[in-house]
Amino acid sequence: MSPSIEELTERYLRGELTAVEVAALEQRLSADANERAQFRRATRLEANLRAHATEQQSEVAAWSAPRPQVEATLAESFRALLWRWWAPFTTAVAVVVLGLIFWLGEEKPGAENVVTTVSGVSDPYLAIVIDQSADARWAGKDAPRGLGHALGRGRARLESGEATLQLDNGVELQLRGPAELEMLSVDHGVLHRGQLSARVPEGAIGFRVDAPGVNVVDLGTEFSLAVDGSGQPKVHVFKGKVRAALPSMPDSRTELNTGESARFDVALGKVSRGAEDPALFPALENDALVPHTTGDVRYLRRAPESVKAGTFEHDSIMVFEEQSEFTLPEEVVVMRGASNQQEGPEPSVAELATLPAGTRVRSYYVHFDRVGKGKRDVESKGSVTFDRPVLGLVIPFKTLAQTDAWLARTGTSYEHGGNRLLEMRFMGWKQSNAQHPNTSGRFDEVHLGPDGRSVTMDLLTGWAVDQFRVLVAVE
Amino acid sequence: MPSDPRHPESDAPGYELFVGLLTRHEPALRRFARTLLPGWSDVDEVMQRTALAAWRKFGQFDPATDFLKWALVIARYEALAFRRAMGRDRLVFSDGFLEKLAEEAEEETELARREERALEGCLQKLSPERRALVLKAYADGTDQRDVAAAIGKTPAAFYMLLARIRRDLADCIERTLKQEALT
Repeated sequence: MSPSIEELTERYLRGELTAVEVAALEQRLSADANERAQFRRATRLEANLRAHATEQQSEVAAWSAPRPQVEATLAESFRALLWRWWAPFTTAVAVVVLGLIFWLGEEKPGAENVVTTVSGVSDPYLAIVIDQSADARWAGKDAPRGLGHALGRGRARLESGEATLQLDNGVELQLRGPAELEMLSVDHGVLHRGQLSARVPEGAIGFRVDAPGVNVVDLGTEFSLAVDGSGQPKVHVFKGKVRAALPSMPDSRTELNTGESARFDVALGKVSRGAEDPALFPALENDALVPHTTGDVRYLRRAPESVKAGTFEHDSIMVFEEQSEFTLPEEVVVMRGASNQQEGPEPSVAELATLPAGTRVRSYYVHFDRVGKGKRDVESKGSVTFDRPVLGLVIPFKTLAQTDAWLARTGTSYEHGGNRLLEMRFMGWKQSNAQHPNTSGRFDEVHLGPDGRSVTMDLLTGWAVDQFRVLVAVE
Repeated sequence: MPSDPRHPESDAPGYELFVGLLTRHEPALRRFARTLLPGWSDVDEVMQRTALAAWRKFGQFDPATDFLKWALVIARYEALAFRRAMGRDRLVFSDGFLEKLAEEAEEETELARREERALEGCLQKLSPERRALVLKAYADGTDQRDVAAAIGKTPAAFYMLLARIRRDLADCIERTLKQEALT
């Protein structure tokens, strides 16, 4: 049987084919358009994998393209521009081999794949800390470092205080320390000790939290779980329904509804229904007033210490409240209309509005600073919906700087330089008036929804940080 | 908007624009070159020649037109010239076949870009171990036989494992693109 095109292509890409085999491959590809398409697809995949792999190697490598002053130096200039493709062979191999030895020596092989950035955000992650009390203290090598930081697979200890985590599936967890939580996946966690309350949105029904000896599966609720040293985990349902069971005893399966509680005696295999004081469990914040997010957007209940470029890096878009109520001392020009489609003969003009002096606003800041820096864009998209109408968006450059003085959150350091950008299609460049998209060739998009309360965004960033402000009506 | 505002810029007219455009389209040019050339060192050589040639001709480039399309023409010329310089000694396709491949590859630049985007998500769907393995195997300058030895596999077994991972990634990319087409 003749080898498949896939096999031949792989050997070709490794340089293993003989001259006769290359000629035979060419003959075969010449005769078959489908096989040629497969060949091209395979070469593209290899090129893309190499690009990803090399980008990971040199994510924050500084590169510069020196000025080609004379023709004789052009070769050197462009070698510098493309420098990372010229890394010495032996050095690269040594790095790879050492990296693998380290990887194989790790207890958890996946840990070597974790990328730690200047902000300590680990990737891949399952949840983000969206709020924590002033006395919250995390411990353990897999624990998040604080507000806005991520929790991946692994155990995290909250030694004191309380913290709110938002999982990628929208589940919200309120943790009260001392507690130890281990997320096995976005749908399944283990509370080894402490107290936890969970709010599970409709799309995440089936979310499960285990305590030692007890499994609790959400059926559409807000519920709490408390694990102490007594060997008797307690479950309380604030709203909706859960199913809890001792896995060693299938007959112990218990459904609890709103207001109901149960205590599980793991040693005796006994379930006792009875009221528990809800005050014993961490309270979930009233989410009616909290902006609702979708996709990669996360709402932080507390402002971060800094949104300067490089200090708070994440592959999600962060939103936080700056001022709950402020009266504008001057008029401010805001953007209201949709930003522009990626393609089309001409970019449309943004719909602008002027908020007069005296307008009372609540302001929110939107921040997207990708993990690490590189010339490949990272894209993040989603939406945020507020409880009140959005008056407009304050975008770089001039108006955002104008409103910094009034609306920036005290205690948060802001980016003020030219790194604070949005690359939207209608924004002209002063010299040529041509549109300048992101490195990928695509533009950022920010839309105000037809309901007047939601902002949908699709942002890309490589070197710069995407930031803008949302002004919401107070009354 | 400068492609990298934190780096010093040249005063040469058009240089900033050229560097920005070349940087933005380098992955696409590199993918194109890889389709035509047998090895990565060949691709690096052709990329450098393409960059030089494009800079020399940049005065003829109309900024209102598509830089990638323009640069691909130069890259194609440089790749074919490189292949001819290799003569009969190298294990490469014939001129005529390369022209055909180049023509078809030029028409797939948008597809290639979408595949690159889809690959990011598909890599995340691999287990951490497989993802680490495939990224190590394809890192610049890596000899895959050394990677195989480091994890205690024969090259043949390692290549089979890589082939399975590539197949999974290719399937995932295809599914992702189909889904995008429906939404």
